[in-house]
Amino acid sequence: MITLSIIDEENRKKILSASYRVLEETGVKIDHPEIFTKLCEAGCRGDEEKKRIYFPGSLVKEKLKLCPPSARFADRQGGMTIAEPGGPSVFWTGNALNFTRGKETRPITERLFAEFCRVVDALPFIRGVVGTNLHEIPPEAKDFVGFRVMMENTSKHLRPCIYTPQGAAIIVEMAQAYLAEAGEELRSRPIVSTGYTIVSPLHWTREGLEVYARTAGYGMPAMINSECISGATSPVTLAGTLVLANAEALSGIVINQILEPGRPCIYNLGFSHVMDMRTAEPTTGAPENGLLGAAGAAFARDLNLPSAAWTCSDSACVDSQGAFERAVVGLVQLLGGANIIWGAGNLEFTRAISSEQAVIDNEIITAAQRVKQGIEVSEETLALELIQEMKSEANYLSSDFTMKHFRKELASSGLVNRHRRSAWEKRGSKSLEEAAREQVEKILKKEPVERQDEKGLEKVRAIEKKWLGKILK
Amino acid sequence: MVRGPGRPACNHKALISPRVGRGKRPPPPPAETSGFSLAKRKPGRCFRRVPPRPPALNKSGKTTFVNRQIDTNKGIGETPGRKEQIMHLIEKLKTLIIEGNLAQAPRATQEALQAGVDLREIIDQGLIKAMEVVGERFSSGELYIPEMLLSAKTMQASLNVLRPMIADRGIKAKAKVVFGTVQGDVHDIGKNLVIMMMQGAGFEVYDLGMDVPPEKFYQAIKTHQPDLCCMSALLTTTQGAMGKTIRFLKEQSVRQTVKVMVGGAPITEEFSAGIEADGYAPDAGSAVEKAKELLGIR
Repeated sequence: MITLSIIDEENRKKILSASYRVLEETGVKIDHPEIFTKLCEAGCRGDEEKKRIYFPGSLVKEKLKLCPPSARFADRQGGMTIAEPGGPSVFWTGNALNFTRGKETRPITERLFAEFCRVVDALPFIRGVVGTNLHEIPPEAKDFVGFRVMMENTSKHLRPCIYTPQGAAIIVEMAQAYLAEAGEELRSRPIVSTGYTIVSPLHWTREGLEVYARTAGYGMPAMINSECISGATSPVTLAGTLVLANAEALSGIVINQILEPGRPCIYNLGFSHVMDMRTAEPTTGAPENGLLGAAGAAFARDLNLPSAAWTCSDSACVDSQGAFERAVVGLVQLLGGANIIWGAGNLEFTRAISSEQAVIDNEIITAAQRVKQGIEVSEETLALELIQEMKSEANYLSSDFTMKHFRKELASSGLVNRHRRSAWEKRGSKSLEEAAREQVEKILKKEPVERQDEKGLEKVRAIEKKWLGKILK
Repeated sequence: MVRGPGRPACNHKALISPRVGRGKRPPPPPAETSGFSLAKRKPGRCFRRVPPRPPALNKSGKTTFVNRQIDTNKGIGETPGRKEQIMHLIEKLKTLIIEGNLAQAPRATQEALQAGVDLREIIDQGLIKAMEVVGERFSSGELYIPEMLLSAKTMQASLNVLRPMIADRGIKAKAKVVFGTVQGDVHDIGKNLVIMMMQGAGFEVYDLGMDVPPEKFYQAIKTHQPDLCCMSALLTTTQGAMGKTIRFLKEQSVRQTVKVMVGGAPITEEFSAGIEADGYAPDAGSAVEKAKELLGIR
């Protein structure tokens, strides 16, 4: 398996040591009085008036030791992803505001999100589904209603998009009730994970900290996201952005380890953007997104923590830009060793999701994962005996050796064209986008598989109803 | 000072330091090109296309009117030669603002004043015209945002030189704006960007900061009597505060005294209409245009 380090060790040390200085000398704004007090009690210096906490390096190192080096993400078909430094990378979807089909876009509704979940459920290389905005649902209920929609339409690992601390607590309640039906709990089967993003530069809001507080104590993995925008909320130099991003993520690690010692945390610098200096948009498909994500993964390895990133495209529709940006950024982040990579099916600076794009991304991920896998060299794969046997005969195709190895050795593809023109024309002369659209329709026409977890889902729906009643009152 | 080959694109300190003001001008672009294309740029370098420098007034480049008694209420006599000299002074100031020459523009503004150039002419033909050129170059993709912001800062520095005279003459800003990120939201990058662009366009902006409750918007409207009230939000959970603020302004009977404009990542035209805002801009670049449209100014 290939893992590349984007920055060499000496420079990583320089960056990290600057990050420690930021934590100690500049500090982080903490908008949560209880957590502020807990941080002071743990040994931080606090300035109550400015709401700033200054983290001593020794405390950061001490709390890092509590953080487990791996995090588990369960799906609901018995699968478990273990995210750890140097381990495999998996792709998840990403959140958004709009649903894009071809060149058309509209706000995501519950029905459209359900469709997206069903499509993604059929795509083997996308391993997790991220919640999203639901247009018609009130802000206080978007997260837990979205969680129910995900539960009903996909068996992948679920990462709801959290809108309020109460929403996070309701989701924990739903997941625990669902798992109790099978005699399990979140700690043994983390089918759902959580996380929050610091407001760059160096500002943890009350909402974000309360989400961490309300989801602590269940062994539930927490993603600590720094989402700098180089040139806008962080220095325009990528090195400077990494100094800030490391400081932000480390502060989140300390907070989470105080709230729940031993809580699995994902060290995530890979949501960072650079600002496009013509449009002021935070890019998601620029080469720098690849570099920042891969660099973040390298720092996570240094700290012995799992990592994450986000790969998307800035294109407004399903097109070549969408594919090439994802391929470049995604491959760099994948080879850089990011464990959880968000954004499959995302478009338009993460403002949109698209079922067609998810299908295309599944193909891109297939190819990228093959690259990541590298070239296996062993006595067996050298095939010396076979070469000596074949001499100058080009008949490797019929050998048992080929039969034995080809499925493992060669990435298979179901969507891209590998036909000559005449055969391609016979098959309808379809572009990749058209083939993707067809595949989406095919997936949606399939009868849904009969669920074995209907009892658990009933519990989830009952909790949703209870809370919706309270909120809408 | 001219940024040319050899100068780092984004070294802000270098750009505003007078020490680096003696750089050579880059060669003018070939006549057939309209500017620099991205493909022709060297990575990490930034070029500003500079309009031709007006002929020097004398060898030292200084005006001969430096000792003239200042009367900011009157222009100098329109005798032949003087008219040309006024034009040179204004052109020089305009060029410095377009270049983003923060070190020299205030001095050039003072120079124009001392030469007796009419205040209104300095503002309209120097400052505002310069920012119009900058705006056009930004729209065509020739200039990047940091370069535009530097020009806006330079324009503000020149304006600061003129401010006492502006007050004396009762000249008003193009428009007065109060601006804040709504209650519950602490994201202000979009707000800050639009404010800088508005200031560059000659608007007087009162920045209310982040997490601004409706009462604070109301107080600011009472105090500053603006033409426009702008609200920004990044989150779907906080955009509701925009409607709440507008309702509060109605209850306090000040809604009709200002135009209200909203913006931010989750905001749409439909949402803006739903909360009865007067307008919405989808991004920072179009916010100034929308504001001008709402206020009926050019």
